[in-house]
Amino acid sequence: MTKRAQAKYKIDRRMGENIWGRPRSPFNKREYGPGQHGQRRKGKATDFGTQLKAKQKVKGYYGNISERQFHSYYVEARRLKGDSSAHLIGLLERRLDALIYRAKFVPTVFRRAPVRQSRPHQGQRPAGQHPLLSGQGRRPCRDQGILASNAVGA
Amino acid sequence: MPLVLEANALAERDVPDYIDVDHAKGTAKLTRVPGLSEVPYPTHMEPNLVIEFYSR
Repeated sequence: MTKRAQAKYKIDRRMGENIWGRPRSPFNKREYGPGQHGQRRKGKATDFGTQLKAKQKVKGYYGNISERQFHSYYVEARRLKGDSSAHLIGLLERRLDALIYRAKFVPTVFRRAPVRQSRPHQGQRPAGQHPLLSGQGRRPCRDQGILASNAVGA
Repeated sequence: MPLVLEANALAERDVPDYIDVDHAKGTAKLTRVPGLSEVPYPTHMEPNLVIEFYSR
């Protein structure tokens, strides 16, 4: 797993919208781009500019993905039959960290769920023995979402 | 775990249909791979532009 190098919510201001819909986003207070020149007029985006922005937004939304890893999702999405953009979303949503976030085990995409070392669902772990990597893909139904929070409610 | 309880209490998001969660047991299960329209993005995502970006 790579280390996040940028301020978490900077992307909200860069994109000009609150991409996780969080009430704490700095975009709610400062509705302009980050940095010294953030308040300058924005020029008209080129085709490349809009594509780049769309890519950065999707990549940034998942929080912990490096460009290299994200690109590999694109390669895989292109390889699969059917609509590549749908496959891309499908691949991203089956990441373990995305699943944990969607299941509301963590408040933001940047947090990782506390996971018990010896899980009761040994037989339902994914085939590899290192099931705790964020980017690890899950297959629907087959692999269970193990994760568990050390005694929720206790 | 306080973190989990805190996350759970957040009202700003709902667990989407394609995930089965049992918060009492602390398990979650991806029941199927979702399409773009099923994923609850708070903003408008354009994966088609992402594909275009890489295919240039």
